[in-house]
Amino acid sequence: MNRREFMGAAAAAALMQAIPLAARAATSPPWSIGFEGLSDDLPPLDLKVSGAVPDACYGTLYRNGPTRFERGGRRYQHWFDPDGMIQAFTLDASGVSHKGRFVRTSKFLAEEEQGRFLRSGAGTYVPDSSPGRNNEDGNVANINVQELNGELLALWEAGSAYRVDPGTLETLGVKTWSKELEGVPFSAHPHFDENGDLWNIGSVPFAAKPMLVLYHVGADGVLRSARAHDLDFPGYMHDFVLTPRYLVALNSSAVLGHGDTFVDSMHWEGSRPSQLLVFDRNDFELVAQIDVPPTFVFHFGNGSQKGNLLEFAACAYPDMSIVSHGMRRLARQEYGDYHTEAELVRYRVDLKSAKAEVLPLDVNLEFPSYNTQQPFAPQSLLGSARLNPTESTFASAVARVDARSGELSSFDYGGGVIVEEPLFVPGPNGGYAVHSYLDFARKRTGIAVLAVDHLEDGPLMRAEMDRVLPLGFHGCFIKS
Amino acid sequence: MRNSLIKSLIASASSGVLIAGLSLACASSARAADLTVAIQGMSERTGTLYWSLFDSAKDFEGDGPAVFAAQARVADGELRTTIHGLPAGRYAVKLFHDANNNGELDRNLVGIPTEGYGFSNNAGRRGPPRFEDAAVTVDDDLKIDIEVR
Repeated sequence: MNRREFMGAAAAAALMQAIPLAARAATSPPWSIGFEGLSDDLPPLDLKVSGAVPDACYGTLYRNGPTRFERGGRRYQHWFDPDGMIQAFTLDASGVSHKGRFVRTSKFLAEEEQGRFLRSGAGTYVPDSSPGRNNEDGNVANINVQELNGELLALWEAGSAYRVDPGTLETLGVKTWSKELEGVPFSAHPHFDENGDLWNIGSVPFAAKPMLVLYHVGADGVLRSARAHDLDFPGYMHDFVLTPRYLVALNSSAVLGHGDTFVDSMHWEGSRPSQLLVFDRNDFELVAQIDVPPTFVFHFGNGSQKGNLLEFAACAYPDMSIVSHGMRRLARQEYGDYHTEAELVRYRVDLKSAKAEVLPLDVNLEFPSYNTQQPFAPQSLLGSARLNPTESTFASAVARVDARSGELSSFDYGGGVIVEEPLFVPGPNGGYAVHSYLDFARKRTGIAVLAVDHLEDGPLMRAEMDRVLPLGFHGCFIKS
Repeated sequence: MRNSLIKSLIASASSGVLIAGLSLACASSARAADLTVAIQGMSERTGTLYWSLFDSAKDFEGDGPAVFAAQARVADGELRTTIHGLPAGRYAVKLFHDANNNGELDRNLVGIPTEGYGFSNNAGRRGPPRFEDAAVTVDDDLKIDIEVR
């Protein structure tokens, strides 16, 4: 990172209103087609396939991400803000096809009708917008999509999940776990245990009293329990770690204060330790609270546990500039390298001594995933990595990292390609990595399948289309 | 919010456009005016709308008594009330829409309202507003519009 550029960006970011389109930069960087956004649903389209889809990968890759960037002549200024669209890539013996459909949140429907933004986004102040009744009115359902009991859940992190039909991608309504949980944040990274039960956090730093809600939902989609826990301070939390006995959350040093938008109200408290919060899965009692060096984390690897020792990996940032600056620059389609990057670190938490070690692995990795069939097994992580400088500053490689040894294998597509979250699909010989990508040099979105044990050999199958999807966040692969 | 509204409740009526034409008997010798409060934007056409008028920051921001309070059954998309003979001064309104008629503003597990509410000047973007942000000056006849959010 270049400090001068960083400070310049800090000044530029002071202007964060939804600006009229005419005010945009005349020359946008080539990678910025990934942030152009879409206005309409995408009907089914066959992709051009090279190679063969392995039998084990017959199924559908569902993904979610910020997609509607503009409305009524205004444009969002932060990557958190645009409405979510569910993308579905279906792989079978006849090839690969794609379709996409916006999640019909109440916000999306109201704005469609009025033809303008009615709400401010998480990171963009919209003039003349109504604050709405509560957080739910700003729900854009744009971070993740996961399967539960035969339905898809389109996930945001500051409100409810939306139910989506996996076949038609039609929105079926808000998922309300109970009357008391109506509108309570349900975070975007639920994790599943060995029985298929879902566990999640709901981060509510913006409540009068900052809270973290803990959820346990059966594989049948029925709520088992939920509990709200008061926090010492309103730090940003995005993901958590599940172990056989515990749920571990990290209250980060990016702390909510006052401001016109959620992002604007966040500030970095570099002298405040971050806090590991360890809860018992049985009763959601807090069993340990451990200070760790100030950090900012979106994503964790899976958790393992040996007695009182918990281990997991995290994609750790040294500050929150990715949110305050990086994600603004991307939505604004501007050049520059304004934020610090995630480095993979390994946490070793000893519950007996209430101490945590943080071991750096010196690997730049984001969008980590793992074999969800073995949620608590120590295992390598898949992720997207920037192993060589790229013009886009995005990851151009798919990587596999052993968080214990630091051993790395990878395949780099080159600087014209941006690699999105690779997912582990179980199969013979170590299984497969499936991921979408944007070839911005050739203006195409594609999907690739690689053998996890032979990533460096490159894709076994690639399929591409004359359709550019906005870069997305997360998803799931459902075998057919 | 609920307590202060309920405690100071002084009027109710049947349905539609309600409790128009109430006079404040306590009007002092100071100049008096008519204040019309128009409330729109109820997302459900059920339940009861409670609203209260305050003349001080202490009572508005705390749990103090209102100078005027009313409730009305919600059947239409708009409720309109005129208070006659209001002494000149600064006033602020808060309201909630008890759509399920359980007598309170429903909140979820983390204390966030799940039923409609609103304030004069449509103030309060994040949490309840200060009196000064919600207050209007009444020194002549005035109509204010409040959106239930």
